Amino acid sequence: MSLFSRLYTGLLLACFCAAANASIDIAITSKSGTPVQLDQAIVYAVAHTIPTDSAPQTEATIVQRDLQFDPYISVIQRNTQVIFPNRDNTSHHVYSFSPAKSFELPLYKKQLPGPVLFDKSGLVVLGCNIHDWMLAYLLVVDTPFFTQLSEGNQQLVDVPPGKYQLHLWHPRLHKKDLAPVEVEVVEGQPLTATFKLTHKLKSAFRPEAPGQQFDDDNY
Amino acid sequence: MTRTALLLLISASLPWPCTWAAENVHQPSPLELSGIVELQLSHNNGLTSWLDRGQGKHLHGGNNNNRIQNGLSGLELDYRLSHSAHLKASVLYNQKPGNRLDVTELYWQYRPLRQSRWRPSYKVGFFYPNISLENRGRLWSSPYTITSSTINSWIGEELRTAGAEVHWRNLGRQRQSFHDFGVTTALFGFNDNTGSLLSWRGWTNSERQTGIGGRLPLANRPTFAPGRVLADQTPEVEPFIERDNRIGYYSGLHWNYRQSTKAALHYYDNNADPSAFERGQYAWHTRFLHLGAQHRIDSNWELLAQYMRGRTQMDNSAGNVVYNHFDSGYLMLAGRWGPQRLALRWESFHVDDLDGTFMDSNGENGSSATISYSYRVGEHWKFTGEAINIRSDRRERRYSGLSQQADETRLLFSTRYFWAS
Repeated sequence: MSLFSRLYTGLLLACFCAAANASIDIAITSKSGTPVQLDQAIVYAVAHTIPTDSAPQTEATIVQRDLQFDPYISVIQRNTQVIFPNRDNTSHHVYSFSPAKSFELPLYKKQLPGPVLFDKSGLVVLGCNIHDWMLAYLLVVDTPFFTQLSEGNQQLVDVPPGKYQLHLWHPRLHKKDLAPVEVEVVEGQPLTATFKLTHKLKSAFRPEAPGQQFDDDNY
Repeated sequence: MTRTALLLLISASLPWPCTWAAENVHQPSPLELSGIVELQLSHNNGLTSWLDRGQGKHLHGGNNNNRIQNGLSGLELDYRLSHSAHLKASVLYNQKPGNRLDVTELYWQYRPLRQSRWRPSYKVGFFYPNISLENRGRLWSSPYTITSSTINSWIGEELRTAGAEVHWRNLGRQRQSFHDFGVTTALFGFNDNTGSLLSWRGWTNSERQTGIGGRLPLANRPTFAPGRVLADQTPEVEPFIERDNRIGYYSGLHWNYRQSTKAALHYYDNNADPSAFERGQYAWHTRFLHLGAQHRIDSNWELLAQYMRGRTQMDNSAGNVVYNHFDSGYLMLAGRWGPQRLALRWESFHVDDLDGTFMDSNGENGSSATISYSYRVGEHWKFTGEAINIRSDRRERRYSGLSQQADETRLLFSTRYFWAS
């Protein structure tokens, strides 16, 4: 993509933002209709009409701290660079075998290596070859319109008018509940998108670290 | 010879990573060094120590009180050959006997990055089998207590893998499960003498670790006298020797649930030819079954338990000389509150003498209790107060005109300084 078209796209997006961007309220319900709280769940909107392959401006960070990845779940736009600072007083050996990004990154004590570029969209499951319990999910999406839900945030904000496929992702979601919902953002009209889960959530799977209480003493 | 070579190795490698690090600030040195210096002040109430060829269970006897002594002091070297391969060595200073530097571990470790369902890791060299639940610190130290349990004291004294070990791990994360499994198998040599201390001294609680070429003293026995059945035995034990050129093995199964509950099962057989003999040392055929379990009760308390049951046999030209069954088990409750640790350990141990050798009783019944409190100051200092009481009943003590029963207590205050590059 040329610099001109990048600028053009940026300008176009800026216009949309300034003009009439809207927010989408997100609701997740179980099969029976009761609300479901899915902390850190990712919501992202892929546009039918607006070009969304603008290069992201920022770097993302996934820290290794207390023998765990932080954050556990994160989302970035394709072509974002991610840095992996090691804040532990021990070495890590970060890896992924995921098709979206297969890599290994040795991280020696308190070292800050160069960033890793994620240039394919998809799910990247991170691990550490030294500390087998370490696990993190990085979702690489092909859109700038994404957010992570929390108790205080159930909205995808600043979405320009248009038609979108709205996706919901969380490691506890069943495969069949990952189908997107179609939404149309119209200027001045409030919009609520509802994800109705047809399957039970998988059990919360995150192997714990041995815990500072027990394992940080080595003599 | 070994000591000189080691000193050369250490001194040669010391300045090198420093200059390297100064030139390439962002490139970490491939050599990591860590060390512990421990000084102890102990008060002992008991018989003359077995280390002084006495019948006492502790490292220091009743005549060795209120003196400052070396505890666990040494250096650990970790040289990174690649992201997955390391060369590791541990050198300890043993004050008794003979003021020597002992290489307690020296091995190559390879943990390749594999996507496979069973991920392998390899060790080749001279190293501890992964049996102890206590000794998970640097230099095989225990963060819980100064002295190890009877099982792990014996491993520190007489058991080591001089060979190759493969450990396969099956990670629950690949199955979206909290259950990890592991399988270990190893082939080794140079452990033909293991079992002799258990027979001729019995179980004990100690923090001493034997290194390559190490020798441990034995109390005099009537059977060692000229003309008697073991007249050819030298009055010491060399745990890490090869006498019969036969390969020993062990296998283990491991289970780990959420990093909070662990269990392991091992079977060990040194496969020694019990009739092999050379230069004053017999081969002992020793095999045992080991069970270990650890459970973290909450964020402060954990429970550890190990149990071992086995047998050992030694023959000479006259036939069977020693045939013993042995077993030992402990239960430890350990608590931690920030820099403070408290450990309470109870154990029970036995040796059943099943041979008919005259004046060579190895039978033993005993129990021990340990209470340990430690306080850590910053990253470098740890102060520990510990009391260990061992009550034992050994018929053998009668040969020296002593009472069969002994009730021995060791009170110690320890200061450990820890450092890592």
